[in-house]
Amino acid sequence: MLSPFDLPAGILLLVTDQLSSPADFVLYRAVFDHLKAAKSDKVTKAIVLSVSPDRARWAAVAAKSNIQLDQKLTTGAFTFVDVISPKSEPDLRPAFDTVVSELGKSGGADVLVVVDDLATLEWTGTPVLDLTCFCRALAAACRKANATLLIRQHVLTPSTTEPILEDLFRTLHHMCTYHMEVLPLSSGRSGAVSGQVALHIGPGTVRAGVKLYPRSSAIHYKLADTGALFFERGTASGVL
Amino acid sequence: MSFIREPRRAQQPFLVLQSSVAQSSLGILRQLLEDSSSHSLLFCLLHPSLLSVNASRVEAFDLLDNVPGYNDNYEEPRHLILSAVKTAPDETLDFVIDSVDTLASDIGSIPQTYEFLCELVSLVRSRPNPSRLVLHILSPSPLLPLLCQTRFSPSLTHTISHPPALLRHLATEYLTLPPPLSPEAKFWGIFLPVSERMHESERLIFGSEGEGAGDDDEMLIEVIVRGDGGDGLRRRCVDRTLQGWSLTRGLGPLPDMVSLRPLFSRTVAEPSAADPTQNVSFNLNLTASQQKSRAQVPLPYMHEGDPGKPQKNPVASAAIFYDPDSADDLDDDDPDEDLDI
Repeated sequence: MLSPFDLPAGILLLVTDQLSSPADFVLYRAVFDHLKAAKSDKVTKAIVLSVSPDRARWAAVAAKSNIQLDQKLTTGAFTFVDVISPKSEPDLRPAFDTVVSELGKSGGADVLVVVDDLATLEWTGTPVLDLTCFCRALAAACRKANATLLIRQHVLTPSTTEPILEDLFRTLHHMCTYHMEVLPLSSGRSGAVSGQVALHIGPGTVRAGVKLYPRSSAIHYKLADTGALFFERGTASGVL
Repeated sequence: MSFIREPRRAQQPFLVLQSSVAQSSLGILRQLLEDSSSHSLLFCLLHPSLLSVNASRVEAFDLLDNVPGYNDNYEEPRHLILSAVKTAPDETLDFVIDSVDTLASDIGSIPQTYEFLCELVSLVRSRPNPSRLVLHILSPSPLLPLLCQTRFSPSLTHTISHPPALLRHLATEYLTLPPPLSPEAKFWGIFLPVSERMHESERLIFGSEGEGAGDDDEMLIEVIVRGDGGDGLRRRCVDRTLQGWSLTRGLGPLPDMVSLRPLFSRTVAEPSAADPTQNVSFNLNLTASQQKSRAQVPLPYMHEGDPGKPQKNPVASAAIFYDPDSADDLDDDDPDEDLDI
C-alpha cells in the first residue's frame, strides 16, 4: 500500500503533516492507488470521512489520475462521508455507523478507510475523549473487517526546538501501527523539493520487514500535476 | 530481567510497566507474555498487536470494540475483569491490563478506577497460589502516583522505559557518562531530574534534532523494586537500577547496547599539551656542553648577593627613612609640652 512504502494492509496508519507540508497528496495517492488495484478477482473499496469535505476537489484530482470518481460513487467503490452532521454539535456516531454499514456491505472486498482530519474538531472544542473513543471504535471495526485505516492529523509547527504534542496526537500515536510524517525541509522552502516524508513503526508493532525512514534518512518528494514524485535524499533520480 | 524470567510472585505480586510517548514499554509486555512460564489472562483494551502473542499460554479478552457510546452491547469493563479474575483457576497466573489509561477513561473517574484497582490487587494477593497483577500505563497519568504509593501495594516492581537518546544527551550536555564510567551517585543525581522532566525526552525524540520516534529495538529500563527484591535477604528498601533491553537480546547491561557503544568505546585519555619542539625542521635541543655554558651566564637585573663580601647592613632591622619636603613643618619639640594637665 502507498508506494514507494511497502506498507501492509489492515494497519492503522497515522499520517501527520504541518501547515507548510500538507499531506493531501498522501491521502489522494493512497485512495487512488487502492481503487486502481481492483481486478476481476479482487474488489477494492475506499471510504473517506472528511471534516471539511471538498468532494469537487477529490473528483478533480482523481480525474488527473484517470479515475472517474462519480462512477466509483455510483458503484459503491468510493464512499464520501461528511463527519459533521447538520446538527449544531458534531456527533461522530452517525459517521461511525455509516462506516460500519459500508464495511458490512463490502463482503470480501479490500477496504481502505481514510479519516481527514480530527485535529480541526479538537481545535474547535470537541473533547479529546470523544475523539479518542471514535478512533478506538473505528479502529476496532476496521480490524474486524481487515480494513486499512488511515488517519490524517495536523500538528502545529513549533517556533522553538520544543515540539508541540497535543493530546489527540499522543493518543493516536499510542494506537497506531505505523506513523508517517510529512515534514517541511529542515533547510527551508525550496522550489524544487516540496518536502520530506519519514516513516516510523508504531509502539508495540512487531517489525515485519517494512523499510522504515527515520527523519535523518527521510525521502524527499516533489509535487507534480499527476501526484507526488519521491526520491532519496541527495539524489535527483530523474526528478529534479 | 528477573521479573520476566524469574518472577517472584509471592514477594512481588504487582508490576507496573510505564511507557511514554517518547519510548514505549509494549515490547517488554510482549516479552513478558511470550516468555512467562505460567499462564496469563490478558485484558486487551487498546493494543491489538498483543492478541497475537503466544496463544497457548495467554487467554486474551478482546475488549477493543467495547467502547462506550459506540457499542450497543457495551459491557462495563470492571465487571468483566472482576468476573474473569474471580472465576480464574487457582493456579499461578499473571493478570495483565494492557492500558490502564483506557480503562480509566471508560470508567470516567480516577477515584473509581483507583478503587477498582485496589479491589483487583487484593483479589490477586488473596489467591491460593502466588499470582501477579501487571498494569501497563502511559505517562503522564493521574493514576500513576496513586499506584506507586505503599498504600496501594507495599511491594512494587516499577519499570520506566527511556529512549537511549537520553543517555547520549546526558553525555553531551552534562558531560556525564552512564555507570560504570561515572560514579553512581553523580549519575543518578543528574539522570533522575532530567528523566522526570518528560518534555526533555519528548524534545530529544520529536524536536528539531530528533528522529521522530523512539527506538523500537533497544531501550533503557529503569527498574524500581520496593520490598523484597529477591536476593535471599528480607529487605525493606527501594532498589533502583538502570538496565538495557533489546528486542532481540532481551535484558543486558548498558555497554551491550548497540546505540550506546559510542559512549562506552570512548578512551579516557589525559589531554596532553602539544609539544612545540616536535615536528620542526630545525633542532631546538641543547647538548650537554651547551647547557652547562648556558647555566653559567649571569642573568641581568638579578641581585645575586656574593656570600663572601661583607654586607653593608648585616642586621636587617626595620626602619623608616623619611625625607621631608618644603611643605612639611617638622618640629622636634614635644607638641604637648605646653599642656598643663
